[in-house]
Amino acid sequence: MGKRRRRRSAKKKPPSTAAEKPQEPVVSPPTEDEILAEEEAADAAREALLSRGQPGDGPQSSRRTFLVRAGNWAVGACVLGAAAGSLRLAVPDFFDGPPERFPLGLPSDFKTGTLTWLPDRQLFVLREGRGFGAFSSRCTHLGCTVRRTNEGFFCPCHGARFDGQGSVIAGPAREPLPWFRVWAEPDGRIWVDTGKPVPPGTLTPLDGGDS
Amino acid sequence: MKPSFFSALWSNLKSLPQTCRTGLRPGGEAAPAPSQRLRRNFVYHLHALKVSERALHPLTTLGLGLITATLFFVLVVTGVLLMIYYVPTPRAAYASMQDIQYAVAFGGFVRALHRWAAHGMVLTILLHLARVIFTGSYRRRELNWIMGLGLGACTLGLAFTGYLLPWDQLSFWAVSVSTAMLDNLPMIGGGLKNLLLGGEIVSAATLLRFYTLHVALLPALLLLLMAFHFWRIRKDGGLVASSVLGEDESSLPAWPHLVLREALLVLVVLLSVCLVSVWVAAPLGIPPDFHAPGNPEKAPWYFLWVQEMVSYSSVVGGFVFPGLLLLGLLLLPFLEREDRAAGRWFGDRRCRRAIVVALSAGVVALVIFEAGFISAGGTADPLIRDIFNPATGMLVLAVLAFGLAGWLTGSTRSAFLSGFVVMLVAVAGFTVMGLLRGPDWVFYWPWEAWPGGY
Repeated sequence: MGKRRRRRSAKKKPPSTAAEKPQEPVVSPPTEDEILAEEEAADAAREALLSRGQPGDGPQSSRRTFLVRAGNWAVGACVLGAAAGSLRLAVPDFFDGPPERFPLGLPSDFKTGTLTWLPDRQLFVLREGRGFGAFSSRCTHLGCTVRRTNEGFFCPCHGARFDGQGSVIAGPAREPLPWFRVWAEPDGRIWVDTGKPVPPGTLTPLDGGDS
Repeated sequence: MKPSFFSALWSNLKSLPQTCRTGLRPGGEAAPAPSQRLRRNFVYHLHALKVSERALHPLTTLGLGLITATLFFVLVVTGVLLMIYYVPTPRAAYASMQDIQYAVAFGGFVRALHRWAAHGMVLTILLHLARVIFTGSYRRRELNWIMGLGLGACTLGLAFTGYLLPWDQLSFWAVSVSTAMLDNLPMIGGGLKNLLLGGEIVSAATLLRFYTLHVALLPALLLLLMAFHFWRIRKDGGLVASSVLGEDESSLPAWPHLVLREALLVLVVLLSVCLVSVWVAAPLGIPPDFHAPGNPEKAPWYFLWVQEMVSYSSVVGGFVFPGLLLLGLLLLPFLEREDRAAGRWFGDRRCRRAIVVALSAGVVALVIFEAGFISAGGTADPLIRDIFNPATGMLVLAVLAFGLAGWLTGSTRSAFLSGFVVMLVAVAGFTVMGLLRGPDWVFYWPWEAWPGGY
């Protein structure tokens, strides 16, 4: 600012020298000292304005404080919002896992008095005469697959033991192996819904397949 | 185009070697005066110009932080190399692991380096944590202590996510079991499990999520925290002893005394991990059988203590015990603020006495608890299992040791050290117990053969 003005004044009066300057009458172009003083005053005013940032210093500074705080909170809210949105994105809204309800097969696929393991479905299917029941082969402790033993079932991961109906005998598991609703569709196939639990030991009488 | 342009270019070209020598110097273009030469080196962003003789002694820190950082460097380099061939999909993952292991040039070696450096990093970061606790080096470094715990969490997270990536039988079932523990967490457990697995069970979505965490999010976080951790040590004035105690120790210039020692340690670490990787191949199990786990199916050694505890009770073992341990660690530098003997191994004489008592009591109690629990047979009553099991017992003993030591010695440091020692005995004991588990989760001594078929 000051520099440019000085240059302009120098152009207006090319012959004038530094020695002549003080004797000139006071006209429109200000002298160097005046400009400097002017700038110093402006600087002081600006600094005074800036230093009044403390709350309670006056109406103007409280507005400044408020604006600064509001700005900080706005930035913080934006960051939090973006973080929350990123987290929400990672929460799955669809699953590529197996379906909850699916056909088990024809009644004749299961011999009476037998227990059949369907490894792909993690299910045991029990048949007693016309009664059918299905329960999970996933240990209720931490989800390992249980194995059949003489007394019932055993989980190799942490040693939970279940009886033949899936009730807990010993070990860290708390819940029995869950049983699910089974029914027959008109085409004769047996279906199961792993989203519909039924009391342990529930055998549903179904028609067909008296093999 | 003036001729001066060409002449300037030509003269610059002629002096290129000289410009490279001066311009590429880390300190800047001007030749530094001999007295300034040290300050301009990058090393002095990390280290003070002078270090105390005590800080240089190998037993003061055991160099554990530097070993951990070196292993992390090895993990980044080998990890990037493995990324060239690894495919994070259920169909291709195991096959790409086989490619890396058997077909790719140096693939098996690089994979072994990555595996053993990862085990080493978990080990050294845990030892580093123990060192800081036993020397009381958390004093007046509350922020860096929290950062250090964050680094530990990142390291365990990296180890855990990396465990799934081979997609073999062991990794599939270990991750299935450990993420199933989240179901025991009230309220947020189910949502957290969905977030982590991308579904209810370990699937293609899980593999991709773990891969993303393993190669991008966690390493970036760890790198940031590590830079902050190092910077903070420098800002806090180096090791605790010199700054807190204000000891009048004779100082030595960091160059060459400290820097050469560090360089030597880095070389030793690199050499060791290379030698191990040449001799011992990283294991790759059988392809995963999604129908049934092996018998037994064990977690990696650093999570074995948790697995052993969840076989007692999934609530106590999976959340109460680790949660209280973490809470105690988080609160440590805020509740324990003694300056006396800070930076000294095991504090003063009272502390040492308390540690010995806590150690003996812990070992005796652990043996009694385990013998009682095993001889009582596996009861199924959840309430009895939650309360009368070795993990709960050791937790109660740790609280008792904490209170008793504090009451008898009047020192918060001996109280925290006693409680911590009991927890440490429990963790070590449960790890040993986990190692001794055989088929059907039954104990076998190391010299006993497992029954046929396994």
